[in-house]
Amino acid sequence: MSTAKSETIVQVDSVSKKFCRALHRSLRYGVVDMCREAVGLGPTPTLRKGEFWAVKDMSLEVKRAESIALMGQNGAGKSTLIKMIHGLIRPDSGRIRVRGRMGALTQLGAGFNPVLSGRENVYINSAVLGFAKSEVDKRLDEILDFSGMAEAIDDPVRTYSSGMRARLGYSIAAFLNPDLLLMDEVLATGDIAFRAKCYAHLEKLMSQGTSIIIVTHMMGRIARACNRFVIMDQGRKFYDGEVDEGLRRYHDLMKVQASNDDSDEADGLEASASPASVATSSISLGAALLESVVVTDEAGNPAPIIEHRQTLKVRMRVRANADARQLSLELRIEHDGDDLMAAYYPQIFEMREGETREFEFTIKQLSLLKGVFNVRGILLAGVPPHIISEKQTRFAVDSGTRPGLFTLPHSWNEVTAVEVD
Amino acid sequence: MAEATINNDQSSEKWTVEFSPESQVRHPIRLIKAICSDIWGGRSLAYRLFVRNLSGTYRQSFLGFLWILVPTIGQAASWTFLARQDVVRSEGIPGGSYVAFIAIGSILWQAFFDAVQAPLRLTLANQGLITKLSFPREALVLVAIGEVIFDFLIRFVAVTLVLTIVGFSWSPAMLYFPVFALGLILVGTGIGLLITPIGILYQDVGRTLTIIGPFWMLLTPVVYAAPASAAYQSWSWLNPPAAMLSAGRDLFVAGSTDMWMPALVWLAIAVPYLMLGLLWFRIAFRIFVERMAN
Repeated sequence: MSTAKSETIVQVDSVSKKFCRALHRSLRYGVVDMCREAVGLGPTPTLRKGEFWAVKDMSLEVKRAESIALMGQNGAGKSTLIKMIHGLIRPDSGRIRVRGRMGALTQLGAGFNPVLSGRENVYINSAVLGFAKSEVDKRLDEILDFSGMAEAIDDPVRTYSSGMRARLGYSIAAFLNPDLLLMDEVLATGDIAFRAKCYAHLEKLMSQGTSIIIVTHMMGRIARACNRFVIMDQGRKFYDGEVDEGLRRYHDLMKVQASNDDSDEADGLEASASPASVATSSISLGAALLESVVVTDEAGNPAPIIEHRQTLKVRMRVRANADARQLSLELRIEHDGDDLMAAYYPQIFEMREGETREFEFTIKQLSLLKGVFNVRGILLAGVPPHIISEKQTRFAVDSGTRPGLFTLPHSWNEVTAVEVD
Repeated sequence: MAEATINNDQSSEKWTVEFSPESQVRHPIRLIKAICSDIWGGRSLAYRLFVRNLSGTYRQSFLGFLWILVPTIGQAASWTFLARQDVVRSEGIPGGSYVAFIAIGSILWQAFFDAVQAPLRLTLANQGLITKLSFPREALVLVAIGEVIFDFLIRFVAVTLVLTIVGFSWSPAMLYFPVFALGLILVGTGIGLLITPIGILYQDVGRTLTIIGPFWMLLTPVVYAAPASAAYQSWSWLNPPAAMLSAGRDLFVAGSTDMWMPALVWLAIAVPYLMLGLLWFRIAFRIFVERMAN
């Protein structure tokens, strides 16, 4: 690896990429594009019916040892850009050039065969990532040590949890020595301790001169460790610059989008259908369903942004499809994807078939500081309780420029005696 | 799309790789070099994936590799039974042994049809890899060919053992047999690669392939000797597996064949046919990857 820090590792010149959401039309366009490619025409320069620009006129230059946090909402075009840099999909216009060896952490454990043991899969996954067997032989102990999977390495991978698979997958990929490392939100799984280990490893890579582009929509530790922020919005570059300013701009962008989403909603209690204050998952085993989780202000109006020290309320609506006993609701407040900050459990309750009940959770004098947080409502049933339904929504806290995640009750007193000459 | 790979070792001015929308076929030499380079560079990965698939497929199976023999045993047993019941005519077949005739024809047909299906099957099975990681995509083609050859060898060894036990007589012309078998596998893989990109987009291709398989076999001289009629001879020229299968099987069981000319012509175009498939697969690859679920 060359050490010239002014050397450009990635050059993205006015790159655009279009997609079509309608399945049948997209497939038809695929056949047309293949035929155009075969006769030397390349992609169509303009949008066809039903197409939209996923990435538009994006330019980016990455120098050696630069680490970039590529941020933006879902659908902003981050992953599409990464896939184009990685060479998985082609640009429809513009040009991408890469210098040196490229590594990608876009799916940990890609190609794992669940029937085979972890050890066998280490060799297979390494081959996919470009390692020779002799390299893996030399690094196997390091991989096992880093993953903490030595004891389970000869068990079939299907017996591993998703977190264990991610740990093993990261550990294999971590020992690449690329000039450019592309990461696409792969550290969402795995326990907090392992994620911290990965973050430390990434920081070490950064200090060693590896250029890194990390796709994320979370302002977590690793994003803050980057030395440059690039924010994408609706396929275009929204911001490219310093980290501190980038954090502020991203937060502002989130606030604007959350406000827009809120104003689009006619009925506040149905806000869970909107993209920014959204219920993104629902796991129902049939008996009862957590229908909505909505953040409101003190007056009960949907409020995607809560001021520091104001009242936060969360309304959760539960519908019973059958008589259900031993139901309970759990509410979690999370930061940085799924780092749990607090969890609350109310009383156990019962519901009759067809009944709908609404619960309100209140925090007075919200101690959280500026940031974007998840509120996850979880409906549990049975003894021991198991999750039958789950929904989450997001809210932002505005607290000015005060640093940190939250405040605690405190007081200041001076304890030294006043000396008088 | 142009994908230029540039050696960067000597000069910091050059780029290692460049992606642009320009069609790859505008630079045919570069395109062929890239395919050859990825075939060479992907051989180690192909071996790993081959071993993975082999281990994974049969690890949870009681009969294991015996499953590879089931189609051949089924074909040979069924058609031999029908021949003994005079449902199908077995008189005048080359070599005189209908069991050998059917068994050898079956393993050749199975190798050809497996080769047709393998590229689409493997591309779909590895879509998690394909949509997330960049690796020499020709490795998948090597895995496809490797799996077909492996299955063919298992069947061939089993059939040869059985024929030896029942006192089958061998002739030097059998040495041509592996050449035609390889030709069938290469042509089959070429066809498979040609249909794979459309097969990824539309499931109709895979379903059609499953349905036409038995009809295609009946239109190919697998369970009967190729008739000498002019119409059938013309069909043998057009039907990719017909001539090579007939020649390979006849040389094995009888030591001679009437199908030399079409078989040699198909053998000569087997590698260009595969190359054509590789070119189409390569230029269509990123277009269908965009549309694969991930």
